[in-house]
Amino acid sequence: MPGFMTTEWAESCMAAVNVWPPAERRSSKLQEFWEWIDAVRPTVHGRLALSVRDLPAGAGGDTLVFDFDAGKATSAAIVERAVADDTATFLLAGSYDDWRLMFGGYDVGKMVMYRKLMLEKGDTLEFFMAAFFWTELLAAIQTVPVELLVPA
Amino acid sequence: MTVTASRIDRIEAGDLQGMGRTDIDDVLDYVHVPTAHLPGYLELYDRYLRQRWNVNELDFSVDRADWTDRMTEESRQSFLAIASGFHHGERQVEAELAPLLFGIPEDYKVFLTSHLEDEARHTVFFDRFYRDVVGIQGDGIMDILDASWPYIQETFVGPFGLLSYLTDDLRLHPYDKHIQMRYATTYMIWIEGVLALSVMKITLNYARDFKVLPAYYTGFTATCRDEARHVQGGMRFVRQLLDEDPAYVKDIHDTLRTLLTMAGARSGIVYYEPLGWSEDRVKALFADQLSKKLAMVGVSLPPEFEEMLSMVKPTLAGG
Ligand SMILES: [Fe+2]
Ligand SMILES: [Fe+2]
Repeated sequence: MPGFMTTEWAESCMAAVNVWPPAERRSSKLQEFWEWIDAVRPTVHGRLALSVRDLPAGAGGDTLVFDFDAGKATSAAIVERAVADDTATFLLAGSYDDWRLMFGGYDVGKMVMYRKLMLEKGDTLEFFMAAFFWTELLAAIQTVPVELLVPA
Repeated sequence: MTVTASRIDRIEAGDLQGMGRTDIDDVLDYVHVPTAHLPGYLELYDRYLRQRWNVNELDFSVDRADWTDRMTEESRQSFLAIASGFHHGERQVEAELAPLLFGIPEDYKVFLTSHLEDEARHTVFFDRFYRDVVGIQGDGIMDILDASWPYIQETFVGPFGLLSYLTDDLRLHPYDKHIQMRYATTYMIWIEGVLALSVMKITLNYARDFKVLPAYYTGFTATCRDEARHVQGGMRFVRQLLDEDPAYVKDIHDTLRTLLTMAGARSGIVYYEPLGWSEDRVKALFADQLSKKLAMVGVSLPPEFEEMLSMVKPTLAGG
């Protein structure tokens, strides 16, 4: 199982995001929900960063970044937060505990609504133009098997 | 239809039990006043002092019997789909209001403390409804919220996630008037002025017409009267910002563009029919509520918004 914030995990996340949703999830919601996402997809460009504010030492970086071209992730990497701050269009950050909560199955809508993940870079209104594209992206990442770091 | 003077008096001066005998449609009409008649913040605060009600005076025992014996499974499910959006909505608007206090006009600060207290009371009102009527058990506010979460629409996180994130923008930049305007558009124009007032009408018309859930009707009609103050205070604030600089209208438009774009999505169907409504009627209600709020602040929408408005799928929530 790839470790949290490793290149292997980043690539698995990108693969999951690009084939999302699996059939079961697709059929659990109205087709028009996916049509809404398909309609905003062409507007999604640039870099999304997902960062951990207090990652225990030992990881290669604390931030997962995706580069998007018309809603398709074209590359994924693990970088340091400072790099993401310079290059990301949108940056979401949360505590390590809240990331663990998400991997434990915590609802991605609540991750946003209860501010477990905050938008620390990027325009809020623009981010929400693609709101459900982003929550589904979190749901995709949630399904990727990952070995979590044990806090020191 | 306008509310006659004697009805206004009854709405203005009614106590909690009086709210149970007040027609919800009159209270909804009472929200809308022309820009020139928007009350001052201290006048709204004075109204709050007179209209404040005690949520713990409500006795839900008849509602409990109606819920189990008189309502059908279908109407319970439809009711929960709608009320749960309010249960969560009230908690969100309670938890997200405080940062607005820092950067607003002095008199509005006084009124806003009462607005915050109202939202806490509304949160407790729904907490009691879910415990005493629906029969959910748990410790504290969040346990009950977690239990009603499966009933809310997934797209709820659109407007309420936006509010959370704008609250954080405001926390960081409390004096930034562009952010204040985006925040007021999301909170007072859209969530309170459109979503809340529409959903109040649907569930309260149902309780009134089917003669069920009397304590819910009483408390939620009193809630609606509280919302009238919140919306009027918010519209006064929006109007004040626009008087300072008409260019802030761009923030209203930008925010509504995002809200209406999100409102075009839904992931499941809500069946309004058991409550005596149809989706088309709900959509028309939304559009009507939005145009009334915009009229109160003297703002019109560019033509591009027409199409977005026609695509709206109602989010059943409020605060
Ligand atoms: Fe309110
Ligand atoms: Fe409220």
